[in-house]
Amino acid sequence: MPPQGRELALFQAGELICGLEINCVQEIQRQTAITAVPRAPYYVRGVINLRGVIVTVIDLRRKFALEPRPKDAEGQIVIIRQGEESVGLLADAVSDVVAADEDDIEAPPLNLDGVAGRYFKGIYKQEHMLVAILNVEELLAVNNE
Amino acid sequence: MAAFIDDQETLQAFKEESLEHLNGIENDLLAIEEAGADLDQELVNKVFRAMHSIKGGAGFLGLDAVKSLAHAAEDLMNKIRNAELLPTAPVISSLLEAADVVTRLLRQTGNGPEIDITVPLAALRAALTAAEEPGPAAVSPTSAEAGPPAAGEDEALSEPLLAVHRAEVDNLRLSGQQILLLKYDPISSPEGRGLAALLADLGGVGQTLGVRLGEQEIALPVSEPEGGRLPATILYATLMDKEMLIAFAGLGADEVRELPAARPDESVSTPRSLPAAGTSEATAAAPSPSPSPAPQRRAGDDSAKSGQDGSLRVNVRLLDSLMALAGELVLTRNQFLQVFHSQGRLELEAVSQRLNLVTSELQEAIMSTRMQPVGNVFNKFKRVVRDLAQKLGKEIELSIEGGEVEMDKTIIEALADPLTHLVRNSVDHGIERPADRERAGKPPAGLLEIKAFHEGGHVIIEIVDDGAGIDTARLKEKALGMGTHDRAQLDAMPERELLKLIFLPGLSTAREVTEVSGRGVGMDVVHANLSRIGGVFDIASKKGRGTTITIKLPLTLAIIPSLIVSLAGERYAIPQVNLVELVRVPPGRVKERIERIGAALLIRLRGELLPLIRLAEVLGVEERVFCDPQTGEAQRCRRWRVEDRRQPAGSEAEHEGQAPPDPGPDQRQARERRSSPDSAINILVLSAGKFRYGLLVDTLLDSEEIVVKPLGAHLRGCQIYAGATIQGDGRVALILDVAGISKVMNLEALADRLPARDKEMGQVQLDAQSLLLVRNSPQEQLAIPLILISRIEKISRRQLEVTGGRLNMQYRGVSLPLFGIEEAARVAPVNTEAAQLSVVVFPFGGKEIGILVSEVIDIVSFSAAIDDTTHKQPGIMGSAIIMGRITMLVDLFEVVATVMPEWVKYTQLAAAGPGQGQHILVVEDSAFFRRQICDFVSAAGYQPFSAQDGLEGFAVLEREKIDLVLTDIEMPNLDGLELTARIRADSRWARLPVIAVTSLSGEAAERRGRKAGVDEYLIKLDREKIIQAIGQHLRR
Repeated sequence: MPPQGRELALFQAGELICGLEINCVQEIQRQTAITAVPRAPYYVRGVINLRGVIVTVIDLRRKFALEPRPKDAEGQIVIIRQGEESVGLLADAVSDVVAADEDDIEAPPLNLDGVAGRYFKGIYKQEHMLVAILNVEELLAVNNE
Repeated sequence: MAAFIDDQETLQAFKEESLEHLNGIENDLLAIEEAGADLDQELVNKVFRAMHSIKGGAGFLGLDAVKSLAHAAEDLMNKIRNAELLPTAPVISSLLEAADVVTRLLRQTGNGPEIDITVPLAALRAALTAAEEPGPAAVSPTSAEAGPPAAGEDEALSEPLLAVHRAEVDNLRLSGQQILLLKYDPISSPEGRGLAALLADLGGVGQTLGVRLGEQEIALPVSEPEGGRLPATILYATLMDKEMLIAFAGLGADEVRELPAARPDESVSTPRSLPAAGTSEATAAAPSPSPSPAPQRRAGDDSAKSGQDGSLRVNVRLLDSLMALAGELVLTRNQFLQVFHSQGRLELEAVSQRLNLVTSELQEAIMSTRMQPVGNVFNKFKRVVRDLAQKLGKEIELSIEGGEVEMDKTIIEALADPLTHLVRNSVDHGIERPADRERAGKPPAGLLEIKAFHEGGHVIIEIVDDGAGIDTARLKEKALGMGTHDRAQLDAMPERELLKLIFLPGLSTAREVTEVSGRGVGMDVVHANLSRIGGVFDIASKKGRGTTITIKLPLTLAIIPSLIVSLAGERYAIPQVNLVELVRVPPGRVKERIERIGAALLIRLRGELLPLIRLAEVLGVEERVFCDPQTGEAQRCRRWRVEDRRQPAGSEAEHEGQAPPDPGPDQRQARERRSSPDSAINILVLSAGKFRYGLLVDTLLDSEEIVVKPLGAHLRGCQIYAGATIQGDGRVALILDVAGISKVMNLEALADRLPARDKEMGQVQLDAQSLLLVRNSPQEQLAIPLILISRIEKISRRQLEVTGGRLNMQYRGVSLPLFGIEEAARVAPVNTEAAQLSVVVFPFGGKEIGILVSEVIDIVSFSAAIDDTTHKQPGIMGSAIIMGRITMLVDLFEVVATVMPEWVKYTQLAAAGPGQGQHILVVEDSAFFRRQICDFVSAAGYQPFSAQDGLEGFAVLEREKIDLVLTDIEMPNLDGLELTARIRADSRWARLPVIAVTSLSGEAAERRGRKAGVDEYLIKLDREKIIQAIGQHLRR
């Protein structure tokens, strides 16, 4: 766990508020036309065209086995780097950027609202909410079965 | 010029340059060896110069090992050049070996294992001492014609001018040295200092690159008596500036001249000699007294030219970015076109055309910078084949064609290893030792052909050898040993399938693992690597005759022409490379064209059955949506499945309840009347390498050139995509991987069971029969030759009618008489109480007849023996073990003839007509078919004579008066085509009708047959057609 305080981008996936260290985030896109990819792993929502590059979009709700989003709800895509390629995380909405005090960050529980704890690096506690800080490596682990 | 140049950079530049030289050297040396005594001075000089400049650079950079080898090689080349040494195989071998070691030394980065140079060096020295020993050996007849040696020195060069490699000079410049041209004039030289003394002085502070003495360039080092007091020109490189050198060497200011860099951009290097130092190649060649070039020089000339065609090296990264830009431009154009078409503004038209043109041109130009001749790879094989053949004690004549065919760099590079593997395989396993070849009646030297040519937008590469062919028996053993197949499976496999076993991982047919091959890198890896670059692989082999491997490759990978299709609102691109043809089935003809056997759909295409798969099923998009042409709205397609219109109620159960309820016959008819173009069915016939299949798509959009972009790591496991592309509207379309789809959907297994297709490429023809397996009761399996069947219909019991005591059904407005096999033969009867039955429809005497069976099981390809005694009875030709069960072969004709003997007179088979009693020769190796054919020939009133193969048939022909020949194609000893050729070659039988009968159909096979002189090409068991043809030919 890195020691210093960090800036977190906060976004929502279902009931869950997720946080991602701001330096992981490449950019945030309004949900554009996502092309579905039949036979893709269940958590892949599809692919988008990001200025000429094909970016795989991972649906956080599906990944966390949360309730599926209403059909025509607009979401936002958080673009992050994974090695050589960019990957998009589909969230319901990107809400805020906060500076999190390291003291308010705790180790993740075994699971959080039914989502496996391995997807999180820690829990950032605020007065009226809990922010799950995403473990990008685990989240983006390629699962091709 | 930069004052501080990184040493590493100099070293790198030297390495690159030297490696380039070495690359060419190999072929040059081989050409020199081939030319033998008939020396090609030009070529020899080229190699000499290359070695010379490597030696020079290596000395400068302190690469001693490289320098010693290059030096020794240079000496040896000098001997060859002076015709003191014949370029014999051992000499060339030592030079090749030296070049290899130098290459390895240069490639070596950092602290790899030390490379030992003692062996190659000793080899070079040995060759050199051999030349120096007196003896009758080394003087070639052309030596008299070579340039007169200067000053009696054996080191004197026949080439009169200073030739220093430009790149060498460039390298020196890069390292901060000045290039100077010094004049040595014995008159003005202080204290009468000789040339050698001057050079010795100069040697301490710089590097002498070349010396021209009078009209001759002389080799270094220069010894004192040489040249004596003649004026000389010295090309010299030093770190000192001009003034310092003048003072140091005691030369006059006008005797030292700086040579300016030829071009400011040093990175672009052309391997030409420095103009000031040696003028051009043309003048160098002019004084040469040698007569017109010997014919053997061809190969050498080519390579010499290719080294000097002014090519420039371009950074691949730059090219890649150009490619990306061109790709973007293509996309922009697509976008623009789309906007343009939707707005319909006329004024945009000119701009649009311009943009289109420019984009295409730019794309083409940039693509062409990436294009390289495939000869770059092919030429390496001269060496590979030569060395291997020597090692294995084989004689191989290598023929390379089409080296000039160009392909994308990426493809060429990816091609090198698989091709090398294939060539080595041919040399190692394919071509036999000379003694074995002679025993087999072949010339002792094997022929290995490597060809490249264009065909329909692809490049085809063929590797053809006339060796032993692939031993399928051995393949079988191997496969058995590996446990991938069992004996029964293997025995049932036709030859074509057996050859495919070679792609199994870990399978090598070499008797033992040799150094040459069988190192675990199998054909499976070759196959996989070629597939990765879009290569389609085919293999044909005939035991004792040789093997042909064909690889079909795309010209380029980055931008590919594709067909865009849409399904459920999304678009998909299918590379045109894989598209064989487009079949549009009008709504009214779906029934006849599309068949269903078990769970599999098949399409009948010109007599061939192909597996058919729905794109919707591949993608798991079951809900079919189509765009209403009027409203543009997406609607759910009402038609559920293509084949459902002949599916009676109840059959939907197979689809796990996903299907809508059967709408009933009225509604079904209403649907059938729909005739809007939307309801036609589009089938893309795709080639997935070793076989073809049909893909059923909803809507065909357009042909487009698309830019291939890779998919992310999460999607690589999908297999059915080859990438993605961006369309005009900015949306992503997925590119379908045709081979991947067939794998995922397991179509190959299905295709394997379908009737063998006659391959275009001279694939070995097999006597395999495709059989339709049917049954009336679970205990009894029956088989019907598929080739005689026109259709298979699934019907419901309700469709059966009884008229005049016989079963019928209404079918396409006429009544189709139905027969049960049990009416003629003692087999289990059809269960007419079952809800569903199948009807096998076949032609009989100009009309159609249906055979009613309870169930269609499968289609199999079968080539084993048929027992025509045990179960022989009316309506049954014989029996065989198929899929582990005793299976009775139904004789369709006899079934009908037994039940309705009076119908026979409607057919051509009735014994009547003028041809009665005429003699017919039946040549057929299978006893079963021979008897079958003889039976119906004699039933038709002719007198059959039989023979087991072409040789025997020919003997009968000599003995008897024969009126017509019926011959099988595939036979031992003398096959049908050869027999026909022999008949045609003999004037006695020039007009004798020859009818070929085979178990395979196909245009290519038929063409070959006609070429050999066959009058008619027919299917073995199609007795009506055969008898009809016999009648026609005998009447003539």
